[in-house]
Amino acid sequence: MMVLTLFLTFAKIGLFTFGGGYAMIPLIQKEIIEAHAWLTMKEFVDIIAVAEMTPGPVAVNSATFVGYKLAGVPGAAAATGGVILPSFVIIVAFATLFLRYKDAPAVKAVFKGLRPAVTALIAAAAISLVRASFVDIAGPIIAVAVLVGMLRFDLHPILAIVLAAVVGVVLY
Amino acid sequence: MRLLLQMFWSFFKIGAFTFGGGYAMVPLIQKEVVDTRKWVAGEEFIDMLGLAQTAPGPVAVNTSVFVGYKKARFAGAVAAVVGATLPSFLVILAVAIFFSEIRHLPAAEAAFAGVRPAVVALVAGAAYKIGRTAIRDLRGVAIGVVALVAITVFDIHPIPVIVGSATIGYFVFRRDFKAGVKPEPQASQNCGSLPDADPGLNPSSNPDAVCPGRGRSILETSGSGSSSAAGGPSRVENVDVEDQGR
Repeated sequence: MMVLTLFLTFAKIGLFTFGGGYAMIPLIQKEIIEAHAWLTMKEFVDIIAVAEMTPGPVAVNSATFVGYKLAGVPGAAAATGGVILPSFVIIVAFATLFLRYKDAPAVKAVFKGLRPAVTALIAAAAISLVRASFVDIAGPIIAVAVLVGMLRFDLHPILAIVLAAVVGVVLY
Repeated sequence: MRLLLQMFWSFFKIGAFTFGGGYAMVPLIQKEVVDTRKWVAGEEFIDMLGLAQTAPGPVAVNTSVFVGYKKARFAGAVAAVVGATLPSFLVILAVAIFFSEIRHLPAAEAAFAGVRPAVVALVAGAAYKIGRTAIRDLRGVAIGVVALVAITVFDIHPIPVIVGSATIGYFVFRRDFKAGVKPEPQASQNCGSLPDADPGLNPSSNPDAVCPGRGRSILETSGSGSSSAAGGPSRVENVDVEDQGR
């Protein structure tokens, strides 16, 4: 029963959080901490800290953790599946329509206008990450090195992340 | 089956190395899906990112579902999304099992302090590569600048920015694609055997002309960057994946 409640609660969170990532935090907070009291605020802050240190979206990480705490591995699976399901269904619907109509002149025009905005969104993400990431002089140096490596020498992102992690362990 | 396994593995790698959530996944997906596997063309990848932004849920999850669905329909979408989320699922499960209370892990914190600036650079690099594909003329530059100001200065939510620029795009670029009415290679084929008919010549008036199961072949042909042979003013249409990958 708990497994089903977890699934439905996280499906609701998945359905109503647009923009991903930290946009999900207020809703998770409301559902998990206030409505269900499944977590304390302190535990939730810890989850966000861990989510930042581990791979994966915050929403997925929170779902897995809360699910496990309340109902073991089945709970973790139910909560994680729940948080993903709404996106999955909606994106499959989007993809079907997109693949069907993408060659229509009107659709092409729409996407030609949308693409510069996507560029702007990603550039804005990089800008906002700068604030959180550059704590000392090593930050900009690592960033410039990775940027040059990526654009000039086709450095693989995974290699860049592994190297940067090693540098981090050595430095900090 | 091989494609599904490949897709699972590609997104598993992407999921395992996405630190910082959200857009941190973009450079990895771009590298793996556009440059290495060539499952999606450069422009199409940007379109997917835009659509992924307008749907609820994490961008990374949405994009993986989109790519998976495009290459291998439902099974592909499942393989991609399971691959993308399994690493974080396992890591968090391990953390939850081995630490009764989540503690700060000094080694992980130090590693992440190094990774964070690298992620900034990777996302900035992805923005640059995407911009080279996405912005082809001054009108594109104008839309991009307005969008950037809207997001960073006025803190406007991504969805209105995307919907707004799509609307502007319709009016600004509409004339560019009049040439699309000329017969394109894919438009000349018929639905039955080679399900490639251009569905969009007049989507509003004849949605019934849509043939089921056509999608895959369209992707195969247009995904290689040769989607449109139409000449005229639409010089911006043919963008090679290789163009941005170097």
